Amino acid sequence: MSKIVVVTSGKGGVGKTTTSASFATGLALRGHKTVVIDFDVGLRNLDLIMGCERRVVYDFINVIQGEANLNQALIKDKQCDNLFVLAASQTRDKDALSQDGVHKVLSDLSAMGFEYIVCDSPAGIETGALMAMHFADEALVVTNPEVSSVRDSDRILGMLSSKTKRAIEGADPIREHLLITRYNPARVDQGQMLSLEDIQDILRIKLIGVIPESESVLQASNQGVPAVHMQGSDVAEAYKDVVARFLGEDKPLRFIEAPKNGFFKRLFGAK
Amino acid sequence: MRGCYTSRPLPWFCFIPLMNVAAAGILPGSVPVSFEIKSAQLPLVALYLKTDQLDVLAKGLADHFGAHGASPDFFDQDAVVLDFSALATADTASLDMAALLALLRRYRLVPVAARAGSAALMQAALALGLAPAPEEARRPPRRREQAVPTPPPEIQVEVREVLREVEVAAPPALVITKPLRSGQKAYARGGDLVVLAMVNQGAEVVADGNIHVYAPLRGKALAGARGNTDARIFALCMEPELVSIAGIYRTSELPLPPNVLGRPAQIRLAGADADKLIIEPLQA
Repeated sequence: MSKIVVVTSGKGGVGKTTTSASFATGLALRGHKTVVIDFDVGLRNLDLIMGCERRVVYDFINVIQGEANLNQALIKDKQCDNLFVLAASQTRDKDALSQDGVHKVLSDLSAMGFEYIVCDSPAGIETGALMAMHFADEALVVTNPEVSSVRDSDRILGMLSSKTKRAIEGADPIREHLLITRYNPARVDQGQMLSLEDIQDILRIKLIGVIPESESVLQASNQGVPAVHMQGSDVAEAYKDVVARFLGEDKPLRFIEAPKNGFFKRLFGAK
Repeated sequence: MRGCYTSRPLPWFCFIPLMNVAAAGILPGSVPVSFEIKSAQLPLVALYLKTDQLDVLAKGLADHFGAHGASPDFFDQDAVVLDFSALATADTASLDMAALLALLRRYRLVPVAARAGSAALMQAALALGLAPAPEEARRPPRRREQAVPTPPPEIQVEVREVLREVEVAAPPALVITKPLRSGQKAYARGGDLVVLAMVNQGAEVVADGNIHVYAPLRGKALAGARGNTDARIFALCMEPELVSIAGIYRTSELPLPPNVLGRPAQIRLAGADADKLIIEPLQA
């Protein structure tokens, strides 16, 4: 029985796809057979971040509409044996997603022995986002430290607890995890960003990790490599921590304090 | 002079709940494209009829809202609910509903609903296309100058009051235990609303009675939604976007005073006309 994890946020551009790619890769690196599905039909990006855009022949919508089978559409990651990508269609729109179709694909993937199915949700609260969250068991709610992102995440949390299959059927609620991305402790100290405490006071769900703001994310996505592969970077370490916590390990939070500028840095100006 | 209109400058909010699609079990994705049904609210004014004599009513309206009256063009196609509760049943036999509606439309009022009338009156109103509206929760007595010159015998009043008391006591409080997040709404029809978790910005709590929030209240809170001026709002951490009691509202544009902001507090109406919002700390 596979576990379905939706990566969602409400607001666009907060790092859902970056997180989906790194989180799925992180799970695969830990030895779990994982598939990551792009639900952003019409604006597909996940294949670019995963660096497999040239190998997309059949996509998620082809499978839903019976034009291809799952084995034809699943793209095996080049670096991890346990990782597969199901790309979105660039030429259709989100109405092509039907609930029955999504359900069939998810249960077929489960039957194929995938332990984790990561659903990369599109922004917004329309069909695509609702489909991505509908069958979820757990949710990673990606939030930036700014008020509009926090409010949109709040809206999404409301929908997770009312519009999803588990909510409608009255089953155990979806396990919600808060993931804060683009966190810059120095700017928090200057009052330019919301602090961890501010965000948690509003959203009140369990924090699974903090991803620091970093240039390496942009580098990674332009190279088509999930950020978790950027060896030695803060972002890669932070995503590995998130995966470890998701798998039940106890890891202290890192990268949440501003680096203290030393005497010489202060004297000669910090870059 | 006979007053036969409501003198309240602000309309209080009347809620006309429609069917909620999600509640009906239709899943997202199977929603038809040609239409969408959502719940909606409409601000209404209520017209309390105090006489069944249309000529008296016409004169009263003309005195106030006519071309030479005190405030001509006061209404601008405002939706109105006709409230017959002040008419004794015996008076209503002669009331010509069609003529009444025509009279109101002349003053740019748009009758949409009727309530608290005798069976015959309500039937006449429905036949003319009005919607039946639920009877209002108990209100404080109208102001003295609006009192009907020929009050009904005391005993009748007594009986009516008792009947209404029973009706108001019936609906139990609606208790919400999960957080209300942006975009979510809870409405306690006819009674009190008790929320045991936070009400976030963008969420809305509405009750015909009181609202109690035993957590931060950051969204909108509308108590006495059908005009009950005795309703109150209580919260353990008062920082709402908007509060309203019986239509008298205040937004967070005018910040709450520091002795109540973010603290345990209550909000109620006070003043001779019950039109002033009083916000005060809760003394433990």
